[in-house]
Amino acid sequence: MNYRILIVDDSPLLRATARRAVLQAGASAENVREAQNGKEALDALSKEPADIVLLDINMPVMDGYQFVEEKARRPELAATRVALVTTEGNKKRLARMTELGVEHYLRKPFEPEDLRALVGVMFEGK
Amino acid sequence: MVMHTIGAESFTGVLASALERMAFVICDPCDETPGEVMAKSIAHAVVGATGPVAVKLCVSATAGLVGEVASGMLGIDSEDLDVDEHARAVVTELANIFGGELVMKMTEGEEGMVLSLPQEVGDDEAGALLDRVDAGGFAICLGTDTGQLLVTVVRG
Repeated sequence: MNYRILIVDDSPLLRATARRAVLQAGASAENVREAQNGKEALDALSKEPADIVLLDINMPVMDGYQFVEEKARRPELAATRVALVTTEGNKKRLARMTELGVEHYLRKPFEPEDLRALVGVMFEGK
Repeated sequence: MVMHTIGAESFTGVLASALERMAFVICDPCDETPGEVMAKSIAHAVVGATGPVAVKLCVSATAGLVGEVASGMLGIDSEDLDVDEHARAVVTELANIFGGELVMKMTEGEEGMVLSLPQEVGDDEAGALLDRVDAGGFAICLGTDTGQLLVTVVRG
């Protein structure tokens, strides 16, 4: 599959876990990139767009909330779809993320199969 | 306002379930004391949660447990892992996940508690948190055939 995916998480373990899951879901390795925080993610997207962003919230420098708010202000990123992959469970904050365009939510701890299924659903929705 | 009190008994299963789901590591309560697991641990990480109440959660892990978690999450044989290379990443991510679980169990997602970024800490700071358990908190030791994990939760 040619979907371009950006994995955004400050944990190298989680990035590696997510990378395995998206590759097993059918993504091509050359189309999977990684960023350690929201700022790195915005920089990466400005250089090359992505179809799907898998986004952690609790990160240094720029967290997931700030990333989603900034993305919503940039019309050139409107086609990039976002799924939260996070420990966050606060209903009000998650509702705000939905208002800003976040489409999916997977709460940590998750099983790798959960992430593969999430990516599969997002692929089908493209 | 939803704010449940969480104790060792109710949280032990949450930790074991999280380890199994994320890393395919099957843990059970172990016979070692918290002090014994602390002494064998090679890395510690602390995460704080603030809001209507404030708590700190510390994760301490032995080399064997670090290797099992990293192996499970990365999908590679533990014998091929450099445990020291992954120790910080394992304990900080476990602190993040366990902290998130603690907040969810306390609030059911209703109250505005905020989780800090997990930080690796040294033996002294982890030991000082364990010393505070008697003043309000709990410590849980989990083990596998090859390693142990200590989770310390204290107020403040």
